[in-house]
Amino acid sequence: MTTAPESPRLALKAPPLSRLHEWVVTVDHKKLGLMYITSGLLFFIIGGLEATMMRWQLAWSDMGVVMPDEFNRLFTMHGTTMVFLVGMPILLGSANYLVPLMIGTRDLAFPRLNAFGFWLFLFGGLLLYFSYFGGQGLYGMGSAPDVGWFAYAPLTERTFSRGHSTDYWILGLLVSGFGSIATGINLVATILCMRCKGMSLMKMPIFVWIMLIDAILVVIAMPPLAASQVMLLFDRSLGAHFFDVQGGGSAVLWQNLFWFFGHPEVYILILPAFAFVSEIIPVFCRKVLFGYPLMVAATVAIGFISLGVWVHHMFAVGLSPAVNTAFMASTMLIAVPTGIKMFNWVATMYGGKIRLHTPMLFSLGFLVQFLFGGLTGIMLAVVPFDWQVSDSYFVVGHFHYVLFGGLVFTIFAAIYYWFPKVSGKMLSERIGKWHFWTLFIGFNLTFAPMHVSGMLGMPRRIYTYHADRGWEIWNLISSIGVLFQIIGVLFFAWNLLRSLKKGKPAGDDPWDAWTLEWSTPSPPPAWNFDVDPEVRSRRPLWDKKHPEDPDWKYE
Amino acid sequence: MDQQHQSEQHPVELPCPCAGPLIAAFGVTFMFAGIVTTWSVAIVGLSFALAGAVHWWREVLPDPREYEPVIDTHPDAIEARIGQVGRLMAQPTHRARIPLEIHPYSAGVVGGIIGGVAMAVVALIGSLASHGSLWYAVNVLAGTILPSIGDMDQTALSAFHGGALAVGLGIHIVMSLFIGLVYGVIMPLVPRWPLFWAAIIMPAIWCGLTLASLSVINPALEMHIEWGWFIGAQVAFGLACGAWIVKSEKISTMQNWSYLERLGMDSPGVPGMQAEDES
Amino acid sequence: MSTIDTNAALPELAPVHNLPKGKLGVSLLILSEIFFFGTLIAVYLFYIGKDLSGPYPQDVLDPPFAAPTWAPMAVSFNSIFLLTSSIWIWLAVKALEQGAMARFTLFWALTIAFGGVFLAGTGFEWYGLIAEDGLWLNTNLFGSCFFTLVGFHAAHVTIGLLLMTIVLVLTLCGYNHQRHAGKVDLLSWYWHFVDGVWIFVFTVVYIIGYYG
Repeated sequence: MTTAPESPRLALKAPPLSRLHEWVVTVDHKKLGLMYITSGLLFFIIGGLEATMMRWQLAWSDMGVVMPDEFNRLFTMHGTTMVFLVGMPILLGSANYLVPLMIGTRDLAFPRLNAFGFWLFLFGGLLLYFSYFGGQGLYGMGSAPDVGWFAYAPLTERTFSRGHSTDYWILGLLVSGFGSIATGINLVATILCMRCKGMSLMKMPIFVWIMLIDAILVVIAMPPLAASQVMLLFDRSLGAHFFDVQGGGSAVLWQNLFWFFGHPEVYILILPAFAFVSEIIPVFCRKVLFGYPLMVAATVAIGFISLGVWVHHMFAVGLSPAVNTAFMASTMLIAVPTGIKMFNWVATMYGGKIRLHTPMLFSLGFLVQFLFGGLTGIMLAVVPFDWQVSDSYFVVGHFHYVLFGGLVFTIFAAIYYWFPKVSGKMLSERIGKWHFWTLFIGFNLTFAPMHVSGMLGMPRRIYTYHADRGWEIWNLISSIGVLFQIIGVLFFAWNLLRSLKKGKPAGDDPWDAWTLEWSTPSPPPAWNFDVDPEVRSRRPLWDKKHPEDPDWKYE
Repeated sequence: MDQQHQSEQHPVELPCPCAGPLIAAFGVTFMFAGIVTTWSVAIVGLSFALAGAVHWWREVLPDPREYEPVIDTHPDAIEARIGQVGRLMAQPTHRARIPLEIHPYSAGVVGGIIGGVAMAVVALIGSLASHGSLWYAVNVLAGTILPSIGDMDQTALSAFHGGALAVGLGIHIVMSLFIGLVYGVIMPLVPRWPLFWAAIIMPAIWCGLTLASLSVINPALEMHIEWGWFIGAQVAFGLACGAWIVKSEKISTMQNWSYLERLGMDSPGVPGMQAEDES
Repeated sequence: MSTIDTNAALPELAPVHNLPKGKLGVSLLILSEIFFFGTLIAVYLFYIGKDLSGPYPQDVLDPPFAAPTWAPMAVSFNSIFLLTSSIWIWLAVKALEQGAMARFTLFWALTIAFGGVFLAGTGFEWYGLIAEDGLWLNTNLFGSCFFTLVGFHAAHVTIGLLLMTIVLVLTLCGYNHQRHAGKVDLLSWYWHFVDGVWIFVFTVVYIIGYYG
């Protein structure tokens, strides 16, 4: 099969300024998706550098690489960046790019709102980082936010957080949060209003189903955060008393409000990981996804239950045993649908002709690491155990296994899988494997020892520790792992830039895949489909490739 | 190829590029930034936001502005490859072991009730024998949920507590039914002497687990348990429940019937049919 | 397997029930607003009776079931204006759907007027609370919660009034036609939502908060 000739629009290179103009005024879902993902990756580098500074500081006892107050800013900005400026844009961007292609339509339901959402996210992120320059305030005491990514009251009150750093945290996230809500609404409307002929709800690719639930969670979970941030802003700028303990306010209320957003938020972040691997694993095992209806049901269940588990972040606060027990039970309950998904992925691989290309390698890495992170999550759901390790490095290890070992690994899997579609060029498999193995080794070197240092009692967020605690060796291993991770990310960057210039041409369908996006040219033109697609099963391209045994006979 | 349908298609229309959202988003950000800088920043932001919004609305009202792109790239045709589809076949050496016959679930439930009664009798006798009070065992059982019980002394534990009776009864009924069900499901799977497993091995596992973990879960409770009677009560449950389940009539499952058998065809000699003597 | 006739007729396409995107979009916006106001209302309920110092709601708020007085208008009387405006906007949209432009303009202007009366009433009430009773966001918890919750509702009323005024101006300039009824209807959904939220805000602030 020959590859599509390079489009004449691309061959004629417009002058840089007009190309820039074309990108900033675009309302095209593919361009916006790419801008989302690109800015997410750039913020990923910034957040990674912040983490590197922290690991350097903690590599041995009594180091002096950064000062304590700078360390506070580093972990605050690292957490905030990774959740709001890396996870969110990459998930919204990939949904932006792929959902219309997968459901056979030309754009999102509200293309201009989509552009508005993206720019709000980007400007919100920039506003947050502007705090490094503008956060001094009246007392010259601020800089970047330094109150932790969940900004616990009353530390955020004016008395304790002088200057404007916390205000920038509020405003930056508020602005980018509005953008996320707008794009969430847009995605739900697109999926429910614009599917192509024949694509009933149960014939949607599983990716689209998961993104639908994800977008609904965004629409539901972000407004409570916005409301709480507005209240905090009123506390700080107008002297209200919501979280001001001296004025009768409640610090625990902030925790409740924040985690009512925060726990759905971590499911908002991990659901796209499920979406990516649910598309990738079947293609690289040459089998249909095992248990599609159950996968959908499990996704809906996760969406529901995730709204009712937030107190497990607050077990150490001292709420009543009844409350703790109830939330312990609901937290354990969420392991059931998640376990169903794990078994479905494994069952998909069972008996398949597995091709160990880079996307599959990253997906396998996800399965192993997410399982590990999920199991420590069940440990942490047990209240007495949580009391022992709450706010320790055990928790840090746990959620990095879920969000880094889970989400980030699948983001890389997704990039290796869909990059040929997006750019028309293959990424190098050789460099890709180097990327995977260095990152895999580096990741586990960094985060597995954190479980040990946490059990040994090392609290999170400390900027250094004395030599007599026995924590040095574990921290040193963690920090050495960072070197491997940096090498891995450099491999990735090199692969990306090199393949954009001289990668092997990909053709329309390099992986012999089955969803609609692979029936468009690579890169897809602005109009996506010459002919409005018609769909009779969950794998429309399979039906065309294997007309003697099409899927619609079985669904 | 679908090209012949193209004439029936609607014309391809795409939304025109629009700077409104960018300008509006910029303005909104500046409006918020005005809160932490000065009011003039907010004014600038407001004017940008309004300009962007007007630009945007003029783009979509009364009807969204669209353009027809020049369709100059086409996807490759998708080739059909006949005869390349394989099938997963279950091998004779497949590791799955599925019970051909199971006890009905009702046997598990009834067994749980009978076992629960037997267990209660033994536990109450033990309570009466060692502390001279029927309520001691009930209170200790309720202590697995009610934290206040752990703090009681021996005399308080021997007294009657209405709440503890309700909770203890609830735990006992739920656990008896649940474990009875588990017995019903597991017993067809255990090798050789089901009753031995039910009356000895499973209580041993359960008691061992409790012994090992109780000091962590509820140390106060651990001091009050009479281990001899506790083990006796577990064995009584296992014996009564297991005996009932073993006595019940097994029903066969369709799990590994062949396709022909599920269709209801009776044709000995066809490969994959179950041997007659197994039923 | 390969002997199966590959040219066998394809099955019918499954029916696809795509929803109207404008209505779904506004419904989702309302859903997210419900969670926004839900948070503020939950916080209000949480802080009822937890003030360390006065003024307390019983001292300064209008009793909900007292006879209406004129200055400032009792809130319950004032609320009737807001709730009634929902009827006017419903009639206006029906008129637009039938193409009766004059009737539409009349009812639309009535909606704006009734919404405006409500907003003015809130303004009077706030003036009294701030200037006479000395209650503001920083006075106590009641002040913080009251001005935030009622203020956000008033802000939503204001946005609704602005948008409706734009539609009114466009109508008077002759740009509005029967075929835009769908879009105008969406605006009315938003207005119904703002009215609906007020029922909850009123219950929480002026009944539960007053007697609680």
